[in-house]
Amino acid sequence: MIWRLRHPTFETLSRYVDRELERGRHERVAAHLASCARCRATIRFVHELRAVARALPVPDPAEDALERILARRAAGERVILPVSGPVAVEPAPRRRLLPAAVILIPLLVASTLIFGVPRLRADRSRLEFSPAAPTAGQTVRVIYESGAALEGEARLTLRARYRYADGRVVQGTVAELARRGDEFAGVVDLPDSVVYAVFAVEDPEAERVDSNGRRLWELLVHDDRGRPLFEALRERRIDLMGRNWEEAHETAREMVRRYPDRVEGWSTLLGFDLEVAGPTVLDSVIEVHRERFERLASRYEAVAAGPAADPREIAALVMYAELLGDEASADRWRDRLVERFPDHPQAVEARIVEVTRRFRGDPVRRLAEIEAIWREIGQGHPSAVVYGIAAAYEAGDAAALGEWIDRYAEYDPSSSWELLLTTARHSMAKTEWAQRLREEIGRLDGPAGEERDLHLTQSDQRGRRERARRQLLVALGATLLELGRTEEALDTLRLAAVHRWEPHLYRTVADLMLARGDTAGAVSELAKAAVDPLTNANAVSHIARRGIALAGGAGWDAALARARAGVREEVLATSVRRKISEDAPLVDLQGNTASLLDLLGARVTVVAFWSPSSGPAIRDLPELQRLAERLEPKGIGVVAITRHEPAGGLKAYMESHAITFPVFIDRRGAAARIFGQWGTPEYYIVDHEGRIRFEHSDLEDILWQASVLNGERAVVASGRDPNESAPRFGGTPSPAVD
Amino acid sequence: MTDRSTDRSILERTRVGEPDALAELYSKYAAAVHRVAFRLTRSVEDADDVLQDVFAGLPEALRSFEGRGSLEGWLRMIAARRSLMLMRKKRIRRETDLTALSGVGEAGGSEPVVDRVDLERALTHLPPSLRAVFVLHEVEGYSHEEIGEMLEIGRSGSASKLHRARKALRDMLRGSR
Repeated sequence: MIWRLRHPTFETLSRYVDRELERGRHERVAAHLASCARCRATIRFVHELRAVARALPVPDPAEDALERILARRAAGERVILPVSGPVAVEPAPRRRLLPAAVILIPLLVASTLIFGVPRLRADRSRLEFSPAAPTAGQTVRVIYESGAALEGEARLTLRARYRYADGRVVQGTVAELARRGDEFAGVVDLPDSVVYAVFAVEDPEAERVDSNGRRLWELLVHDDRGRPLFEALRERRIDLMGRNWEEAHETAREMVRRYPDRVEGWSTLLGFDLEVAGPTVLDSVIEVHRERFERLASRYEAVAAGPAADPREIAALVMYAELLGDEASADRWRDRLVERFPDHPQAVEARIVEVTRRFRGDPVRRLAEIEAIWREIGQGHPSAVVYGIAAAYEAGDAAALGEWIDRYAEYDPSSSWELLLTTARHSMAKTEWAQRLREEIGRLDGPAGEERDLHLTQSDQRGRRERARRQLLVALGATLLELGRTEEALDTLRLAAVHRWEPHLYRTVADLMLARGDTAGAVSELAKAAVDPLTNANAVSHIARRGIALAGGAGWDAALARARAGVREEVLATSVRRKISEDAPLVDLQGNTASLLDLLGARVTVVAFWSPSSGPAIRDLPELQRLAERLEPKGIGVVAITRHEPAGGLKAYMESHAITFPVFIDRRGAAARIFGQWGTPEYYIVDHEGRIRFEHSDLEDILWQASVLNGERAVVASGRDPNESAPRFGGTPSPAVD
Repeated sequence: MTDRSTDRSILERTRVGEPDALAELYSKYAAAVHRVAFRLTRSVEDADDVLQDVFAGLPEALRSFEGRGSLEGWLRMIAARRSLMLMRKKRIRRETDLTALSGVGEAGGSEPVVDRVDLERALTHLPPSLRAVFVLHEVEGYSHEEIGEMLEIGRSGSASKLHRARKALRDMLRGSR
């Protein structure tokens, strides 16, 4: 009777499941359960907990585990295993320890024993946060075990990128890690409104960086019930966008799983889903989203009018409606957003998007409207700047363009030069343009801020700046040529000293040199144009005729050899050498097994890690096919490797995209592990000896680098460069230069 | 039965340190060893470490294998012990990790849905001593007697930790919804 009135405790119910209650009690609980749904739910929960726990997925062991075990044994390493006796998981109660010196000596001996044999796993570093799921503003202790990359340092630097709830991003050094035995330790005080952070560890000179294989280490701020904040997931998603698209997509899924009532999660997820599915997205899927939108929108109707209205949620409704093609709803919610929160970044962006849409065909008017909004709300809206630049560019308004790029540079000083080169070249008057380029070069020569990406070393960063500087110098040289300031132009171009200009520029410079009577200089420039792998065959034969006429066969050959050496030096300066010695099992589209090492063979190969569920990878596919068509005649292979198969099968997918290069499936991710690949697309150029020489996340430099590498191989093999067609040059075979 | 007799000749060869024999045992039992290790440590790297250590130490350890139970059972038990040792080491290093549980009270209300992803996360945050008992009992099927002996907490200690583990998991699963 009493059990009907009072519910048994959780522990009693838990013991009931395990049949651990004494007889009478067991019966009483059984009787209670017969009439109590709530307690039956608890019983069900305990059973379900066990069932789900048993069914949790377990990853496969590392592919190379056996190899490492055998290597460890071969190196004489022995492990004493706990075959019997208890193992306490709780820390043992503190005992009085022996004097430190007494235990120190055996420890030293032991450590030489351990480290005397090669520890194959020692290259894997580990960084741990405590607590691993901090709340806002909490102090987090950091423990870092360095891998081989950062061995031998007494102190290390912890750099971080902090993302705030309001979308601000701040990057810099956040802690010093001091050595404590085998580990490094430090403390990070998270600023109150930081919701997401990523970290990398580096030496004090920033010449060696451990970025966890570019994954970085991350912290999400949690609420006091141990759940990641919605804002933390949002910022994680944004941070991952340029680094690992699939992981970003997964984060969007996590947003809706954990916060199914938040519109922003759903609109973000739909954006990702549409990108992956493209026009083939199922009507039924859209229908489900439509219904959800209706439901969320009608629920938000009341909230939007009250004090709890969240501009981000309203903006998400606008975006959700737009993605669903429901313009009327999008307009309605946009009006509400602008009306209630006119200064909010989301409202500002919504207003600018609206203006952009309305005056699509009238860039001058559009520019004026955007400028007006900008002046009205002032600064602090980086997303507005991009629209301003686009409008100024389309309107051909050089002054406005300059001003908008200045505004952009305030937010992102490290990449404004790229924007300048791509947008402003043809809209500014030449003198103004030259002046502007000089300013931009000056900006690059200035002190470096904290803009260095977390995974880059100081040298990487210098290299990036140097490349940017050269491109600007080349643009400046070309402009000075157009202005007739020949001497200045040649000086500038010499300063740039790049081998990789557009061939037409080499030829222009050659003409100028000829005009000044500098035949040797002109031949040298022509040779550079001739050996550029991107110069087409017709142009090459034309250039060769001129070169031979100027320098004679032998002189031309010598110039070619010098140019080739230069181009090689330029390319190989940035190359790495990472031997692939392990093999990985792959499966081709017909279901035949293949081996990674066989696939790479003895030729230069571009390996594309690709995925049908990654937006950027899908976007790259046609260009990858074009690249394969250009590389194949040179004897350079292109292969794609993927872990994921789309719903309709990979074979059908590739056929529908007219893909002709071979595609392989890496079911267990063994190939991905060997390459150290993370995120797609990721491209690797492997040389003829099976060494990884270059890795990229875009296709830009691949044709050039693969061609140069291929040239290197052929020169070694035959003393000739296959990129050069001997009969057309008419000279003697060029000597091997390497 | 055939399995056991095959095992026996391999066992002899493994004991004297033949790599081929070790590799053969690995191909048979690596998955089982790794599974226990991962379930207990909830870390891919730690599970790989345990897997490597168990097989790297196997030839010597086999000298104390009496062949009474199955080899797989014996290996799983060793894998569990090795995992527990690793967890203990980490437990000391990350003693404040329990903050993940703070703020979880005896909230009433309905039972949470056991979502796979949430449970994975909750298990990761569960204090190692509770997780050990939960995994060994509920997933690996060891009895409270065995667990009590293994962890030196006695039968009743094991039983009471199991209930605490279930309760902690329930609270965490509630929190994540």
